[in-house]
Amino acid sequence: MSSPDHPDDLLNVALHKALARSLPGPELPDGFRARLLAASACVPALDHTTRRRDLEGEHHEQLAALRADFIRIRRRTLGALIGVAFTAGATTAAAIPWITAALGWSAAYAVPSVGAAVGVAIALTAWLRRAELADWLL
Amino acid sequence: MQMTGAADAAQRDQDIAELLRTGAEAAAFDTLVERYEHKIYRLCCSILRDRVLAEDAAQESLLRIWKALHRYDRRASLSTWIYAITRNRCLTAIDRRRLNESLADLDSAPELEIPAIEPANVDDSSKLLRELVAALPERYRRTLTLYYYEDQSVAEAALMLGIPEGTVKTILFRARALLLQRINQLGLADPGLWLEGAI
Repeated sequence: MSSPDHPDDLLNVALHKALARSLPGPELPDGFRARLLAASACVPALDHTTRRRDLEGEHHEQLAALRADFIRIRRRTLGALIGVAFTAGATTAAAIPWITAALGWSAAYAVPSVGAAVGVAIALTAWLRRAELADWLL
Repeated sequence: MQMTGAADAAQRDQDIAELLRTGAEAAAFDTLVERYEHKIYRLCCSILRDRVLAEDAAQESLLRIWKALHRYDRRASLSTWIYAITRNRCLTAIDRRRLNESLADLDSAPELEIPAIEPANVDDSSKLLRELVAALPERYRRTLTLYYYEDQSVAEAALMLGIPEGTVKTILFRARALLLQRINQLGLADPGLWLEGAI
């Protein structure tokens, strides 16, 4: 560790002082406040009607954004469902020969049935939860 | 007393928030201008490096704040909101300047130089140091300049630039290291030169 008398430390301190001396905060230009007040006088405080219109406009914008988000989420959910269904179908189709060979003909029906039952159970749970959430919100 | 961070700034601005709550927007704006006009102008100076542009941007920022004051929703602290508006105005000013420069290029005009801000009565070492600071990477220059403009308050510089205090400290460290490197390269590493300001 360097001592305080180390040349680099001294240079650091000197640089710090020189920077503080060389970079003073610039003062506001003359007449800044007067020009600002003159300009702001041309923009009168908004009355209640204008304010209400502004707020309603903002509210409509937020609602539109929420609706757009909702539609986007529904589209994504639908896309995900279709994707999962196709993947499940393809996996089953690919696995059927192996299942038939290994476990017999009955397993070829039993395994997809179990898969379908699990899928239906998951869907039912999701719908029930959604209904509970809706009840809670209402 | 030195304020630190957004929480202290919010504490400092409670009187303005109270005026806004009671609907006294004109009084709130007067207090806001009194408290922030210097800081807004300095922020504009540090970003834009041009006093005329900085004045315009500061005026536009304050007018925008005045127009939007009734919509201030208190989700962010007042100072954070004010500085965000100011930085946006500065970015708009930079875009405008770039557009003007590109139009000037189309006309084959000579390249526009951004003048460094020069206070009156400067000695040679100050002039050289400001040139070295001006040559720093933009992010370093802006942060270092604002830090010294704001009485060496890391918290205030961070709040004004909208970056974490740790980032400001890192940038300051790196900026000073670059300056020292350059000073060494120039053979001006004698501390006495900088303390006396007599290069």
